[in-house]
Amino acid sequence: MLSGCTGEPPSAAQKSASQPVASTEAIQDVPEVSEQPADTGSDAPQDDLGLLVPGVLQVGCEIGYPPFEYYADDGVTPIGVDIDLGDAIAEELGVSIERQDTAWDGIFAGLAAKKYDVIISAVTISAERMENMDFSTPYIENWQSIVVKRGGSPITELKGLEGKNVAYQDATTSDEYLDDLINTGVLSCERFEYAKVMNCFDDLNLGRVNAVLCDSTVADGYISREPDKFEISWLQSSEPGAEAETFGIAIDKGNEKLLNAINEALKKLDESGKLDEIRKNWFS
Amino acid sequence: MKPLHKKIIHAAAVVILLTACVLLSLYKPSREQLDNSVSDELITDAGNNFSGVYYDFWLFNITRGRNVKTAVSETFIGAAGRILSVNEGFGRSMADVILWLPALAGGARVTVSLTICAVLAGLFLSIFLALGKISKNPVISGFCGAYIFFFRGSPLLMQLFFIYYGLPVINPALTINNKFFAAFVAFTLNTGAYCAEIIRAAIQSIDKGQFEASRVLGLTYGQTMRIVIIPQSIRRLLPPVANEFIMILKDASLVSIIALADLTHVTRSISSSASNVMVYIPAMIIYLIITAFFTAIFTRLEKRFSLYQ
Repeated sequence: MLSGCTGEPPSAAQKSASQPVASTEAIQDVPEVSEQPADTGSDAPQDDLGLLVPGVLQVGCEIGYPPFEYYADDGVTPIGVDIDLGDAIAEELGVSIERQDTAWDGIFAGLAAKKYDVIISAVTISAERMENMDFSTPYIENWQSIVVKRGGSPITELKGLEGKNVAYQDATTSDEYLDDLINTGVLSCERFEYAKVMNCFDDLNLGRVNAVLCDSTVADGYISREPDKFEISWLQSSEPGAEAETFGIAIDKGNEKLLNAINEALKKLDESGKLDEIRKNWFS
Repeated sequence: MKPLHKKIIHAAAVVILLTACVLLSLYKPSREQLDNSVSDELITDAGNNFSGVYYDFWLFNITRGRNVKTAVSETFIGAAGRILSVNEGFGRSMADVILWLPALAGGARVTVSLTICAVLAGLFLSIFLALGKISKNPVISGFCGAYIFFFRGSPLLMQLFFIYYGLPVINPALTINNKFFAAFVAFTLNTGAYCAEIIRAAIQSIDKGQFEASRVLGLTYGQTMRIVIIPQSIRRLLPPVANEFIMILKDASLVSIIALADLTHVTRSISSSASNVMVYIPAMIIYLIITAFFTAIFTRLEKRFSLYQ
């Protein structure tokens, strides 16, 4: 009964149960082919997609960023919004999908070095990033948010961060946002920079920091799992003239074919309601 | 030699243990029985957000159903014909550890194989580097000295990053796509530099009088090295090489930057996925087991080579 109701993730879990690092091994076999994608791809039907390995969409993502991409209980099966989205896009394109669990601080370098075709990993579209990579049409809207411990004194405005200990994940848009605030003299605070967003919430829980600055979508995920621990006390959308950040799929600069194919697939998923379904599934 | 009756007792113990294991595995509940224990409410409530995990560990099996949105979960362990519900307290923590084990074991495999390959290849490389550095030829000793200076003087993390991400940008022909191989190259080049210094120190620690005595006996430089100096220096270089090996074992955690899933990478990913820092406990125990195993091997090697002292 259980296996019947579970859908995709458990079947993947069964596979990996016997071979826990199956995914990484599979990727390691690929390289020989990927050096000359143009030659090997000429007779394959998908060669017009501009993939590194014809027929396989290779995706870079930093797994461990709930609810976008993280591991199920077995520690090897990726689940989350971006995982569902990636599967849906691969299905639209008629290709198989392979994921590489990359550390966030190496994720863009991996795209530039052609280690994978795209990054589907809650990447915010920013003008700075667009200089080095292309982005698909946005698939999710997001605001910066301040999360505090439930029951403490809530920080209901940006100014409230003044002099406080603020945690955020390194090299994210939260990092850039705080940079701007501090550089323009709007506020000054103690900065606690972490490699993983989870560590921010850990330290908030332990009382080492007063607030976490992070994506509202991420905050949403943490709060829905531990509703009595944390709460969002401020949303960027409350600021006058604020514009929502958007997440997009990052593609190597100049790969028009793949960009168009993915935008086409996103459009179809939007029209069929599949995109909404995925979003509704993960966010309240 | 052990006395005969002890041998018989040992053999009997093994047979009894094996029989017990086989019996346990035979009377383990089936996957269906275990999966059916997960309540219908959890499955219907969760809908698309239901995630199920099942592992079979031969002696026992374990299943967990979870609503990934609310983090409500139910865990059952099946063993010896019984199904245990482990949802809280110590049992729950143990169930977590059991569920993580296959993933952690996969990571440990990467860590151990990378360390062994890199240290062996690095030792091979370092013999030439060490001999080169003490060579009287200024070009050779200058090159080897510069190599050692570079690889010891810059962080391994940057070397790794540069080899995997930097080289393809400089020249596509230098692309190493296999992540394990890229890590192997970086670690070998790096540990080669460290081991070269260990070997050089070991060689130069042998009394100068032995070089002079060998020359008087009419041995060439090569013969002196091969017959007299190197056998004695092996004993002296084993402890620092063991040290280097254990350092590399833990430095292997750096491969996370190139998306190679070693033990630390797997641990961190699980920890942030499950919002549970307790996964560090089994991971550290695995590191200790690996270290203990290799320390024992090096201790035996040291005993064997101390014949020369």
